[in-house]
Amino acid sequence: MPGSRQTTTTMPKRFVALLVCLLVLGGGGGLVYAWTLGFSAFTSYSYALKKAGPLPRAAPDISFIDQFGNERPLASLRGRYVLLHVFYGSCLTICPIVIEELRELYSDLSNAQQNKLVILSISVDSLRDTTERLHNLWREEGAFAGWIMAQPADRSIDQVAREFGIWVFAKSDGTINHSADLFLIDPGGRIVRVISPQSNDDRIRRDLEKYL
Amino acid sequence: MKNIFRLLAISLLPVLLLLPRIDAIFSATMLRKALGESLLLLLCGWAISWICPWRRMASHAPAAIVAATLLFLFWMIPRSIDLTQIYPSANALYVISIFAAGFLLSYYLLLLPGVARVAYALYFSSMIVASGLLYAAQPTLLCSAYTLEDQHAFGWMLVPLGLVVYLLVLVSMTRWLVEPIESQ
Repeated sequence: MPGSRQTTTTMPKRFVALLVCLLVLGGGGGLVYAWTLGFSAFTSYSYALKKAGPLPRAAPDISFIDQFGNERPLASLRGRYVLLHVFYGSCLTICPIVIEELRELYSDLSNAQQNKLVILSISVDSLRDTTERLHNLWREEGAFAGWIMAQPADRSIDQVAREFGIWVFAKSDGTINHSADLFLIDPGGRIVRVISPQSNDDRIRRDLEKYL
Repeated sequence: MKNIFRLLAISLLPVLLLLPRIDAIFSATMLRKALGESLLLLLCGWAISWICPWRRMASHAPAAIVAATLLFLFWMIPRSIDLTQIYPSANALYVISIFAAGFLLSYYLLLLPGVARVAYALYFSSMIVASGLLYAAQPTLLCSAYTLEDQHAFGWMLVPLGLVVYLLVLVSMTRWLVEPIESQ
């Protein structure tokens, strides 16, 4: 029976083919699963954020040098809400938009709300954003007492970014790609909310009003 | 002998894409990188498969098609595209992967039964349209290496491309369905 002989010889071949197919599918699927942290982080921004851990979580214990040249730990701001984000002065894309949104937002707050909130803008460009430049920028944006423009003091921006869950990548042309997320830290020093400013500033306002 | 020269010539094309000057041209916009370069690499893979002297094994076809699809899926992830802009080695891996995916698809797709081939082509074109819509409609930046305008332009180019492929598959399916009736 030639037919039955053919069936017996092709069966192991088919089995091996199926096994290889399943192995490729399992291996490839597993790789994509791991790469996207369980199919939940498809962008560099979301990956960095997820990798830092779920919310709420304790804010990293960083120190910064403010626009007056004073070195301060983040813990010194305990007792007030802190809205932390990263930026750089030479940015021509998202940073000016976020800074403008924050300026409008902060100036619209009542005095009581302003007393409860500190905006902490940390530069990712320590070479160009000197203390003097940060001071000038702070003055241009309204010189609000509750707005700190700073650069990291005790560790590199890459370390700060990694601990917070911020994606930062300096390109060879001098531009710096980075997450534009705003991290809301509660008076106890825990990150309780991450707000994307690219949604719209009404959402940031609504989110903040819940806390202030 | 002639075929070996052809093989070498086509295999050199992906290597050329890795040269810094040529890579800079393709990496300048998302459209060039993720669409132009990908299509070029797919074409190279396709061309290689036609002059490849090795015997095709039908039993390997499903695994090869799955591998090609996974390679595609992996390099469609925004984080993976970012990686090609940061590390030259990741870019080299991307070029090799898409080239290999093009080769595997054209080499093995024809060995699948007609129904499977049509189903795969419909799935593949739907995937292109869905990815296009995602990139075009997303108000936030997905690939940090490119701008939002770049991302939208890329998305809006993928949608018609996917639709054209989808329509072509539908037309070929109609022919394939009608043929047995005509022959009766």
